[in-house]
Amino acid sequence: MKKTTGMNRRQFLHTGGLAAAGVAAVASGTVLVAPDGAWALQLQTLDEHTAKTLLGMSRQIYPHDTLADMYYAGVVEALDGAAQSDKDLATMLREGVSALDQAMGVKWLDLSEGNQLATLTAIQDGAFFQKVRGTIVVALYNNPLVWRHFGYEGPSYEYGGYINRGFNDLAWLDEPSEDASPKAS
Amino acid sequence: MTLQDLEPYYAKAEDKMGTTRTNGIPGLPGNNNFKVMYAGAKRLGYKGVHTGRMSINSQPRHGRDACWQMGFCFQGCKSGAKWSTLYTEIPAAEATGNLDLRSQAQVLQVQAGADGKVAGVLYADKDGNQQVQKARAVCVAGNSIETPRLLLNSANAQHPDGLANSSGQVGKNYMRHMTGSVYATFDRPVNMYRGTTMAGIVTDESINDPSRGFVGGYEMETLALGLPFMAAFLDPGAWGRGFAAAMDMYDHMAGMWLVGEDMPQETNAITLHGSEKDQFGLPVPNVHFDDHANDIAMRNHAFKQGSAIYEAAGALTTIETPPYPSTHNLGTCRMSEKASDGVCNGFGQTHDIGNLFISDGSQFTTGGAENPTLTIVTLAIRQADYMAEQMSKGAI
Ligand code: SF4
Repeated sequence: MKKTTGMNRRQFLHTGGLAAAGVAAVASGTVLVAPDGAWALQLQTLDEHTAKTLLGMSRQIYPHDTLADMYYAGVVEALDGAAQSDKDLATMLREGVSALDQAMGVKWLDLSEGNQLATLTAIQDGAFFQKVRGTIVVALYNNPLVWRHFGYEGPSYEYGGYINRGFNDLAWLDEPSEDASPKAS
Repeated sequence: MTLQDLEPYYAKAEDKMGTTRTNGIPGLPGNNNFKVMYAGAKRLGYKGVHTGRMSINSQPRHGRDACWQMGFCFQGCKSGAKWSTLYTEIPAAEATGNLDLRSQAQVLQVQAGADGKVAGVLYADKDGNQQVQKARAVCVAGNSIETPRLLLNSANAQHPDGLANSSGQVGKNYMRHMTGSVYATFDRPVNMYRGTTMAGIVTDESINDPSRGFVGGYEMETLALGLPFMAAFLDPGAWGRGFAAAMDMYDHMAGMWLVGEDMPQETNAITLHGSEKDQFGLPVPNVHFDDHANDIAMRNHAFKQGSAIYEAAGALTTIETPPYPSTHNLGTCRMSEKASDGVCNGFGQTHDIGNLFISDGSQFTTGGAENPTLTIVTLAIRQADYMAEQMSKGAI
């Protein structure tokens, strides 16, 4: 069955400050650019180092290896946007990142994966970690493009539901009896 | 009150709501999530396994279409297949010309007169202006948190502890069902989110068999969450490789909800908050709930049986998910034979005030194991008949 979603890649790229690098028209502020140039994020509030560390943190907190950085950059965009209107949050993010950098005397981004994990585990009950985790769980998994990665097809009203789109297409178990599960009328 | 008293009203409610497997209405077709539950439950030897008695059209009925299998039943069914007063009873009542619906209003106080009866309500209209509506009778249906809150906030000189509260039972014995979920991952796709969310049930554990280590029983019902809710609730607060690996299996997951009878406990209660107030200056409700030892033993049994069903169907892993924050609210204005034991009689009429009625799930004395809407509707229809009779006799 062909998977469909209501939003295409182009629309997503133009919903916020996250843009395909080729079309980014940057007026001011810091820009976070993907190493391969695939995307760029214009930061409103956070500095580049804080943003990069938050992106790295997001990848460690919800590590989906085959999910591109671009989607994690969307998470940083959400944090940056929230920090724009919330000074305390901006401070918390900056100070949280600098505490991570000092935890082992090596910048967090330069730590080994095991050490990155250990430093995060040590602060997991603190306000900074909880705020970052609570924001990214929504920003990451509520993105319709990310749904595709997980095979979640979302709302189906515009397609007439799943009644003709595989609601009962599972064929690797015995079929229920007609009595337990009558045919669709 | 006996089942015999209620049976004719259950029948009326099932007809109104178009409940499947009643009134000759066929059951819903099972979705993928049900197929997994069915296969596992049958292999374990369970007998009562089917797509449930759902107030969702399995065929067009009363001007509404059959279910499209969209899977957004909890959020509000956009196709209108699922019964909802918003597009069934309310428009029908408006069409009679006898209903004056004031939406986006909040009742602040039920006003009691000097004659010991209620005289009307004080409410804030949609613009926030306060209005008084006189009434011959008042029915409160604000659910088990707001109903007692309103009665408590309506205290006056004659009723210093709140209206209908001479027993001290208003707000007490708050129930929310024993709940929990089990999710399981499989090596082949399930796509559980497609189709009716809860049309699938195993009824065998819904009995009273104390040899299981607890009294009362529970149902196992299919349940699926969309990806964002799944991330938030699968294992609240969890992160890292293990959690991400579980989420990576999302389209290979099946899920069920466990729902059973929880113990009424007087200490589980809705009270008025000591300092927090709403926008109208009224104390907000304070909700206190602790599990009873019986609830914990029942949940433990249900987790084991739910996991066993999925293991029998070939699960790679099973995940026990704790209760979600929202659930069925029941109790807090319970029925009782004696006025000293509860808030209302078998018709929902308060013991203290003859023209004040409780019309929602607050009346429940125990929660039972079932999803409660059918019983709430049944009690409401029966109450309406009783009120009509009392009004025609001039008793109200
Ligand atoms: S699956 Fe649920 S939301 Fe969809 S049409 Fe059926 S009842 Fe409505």
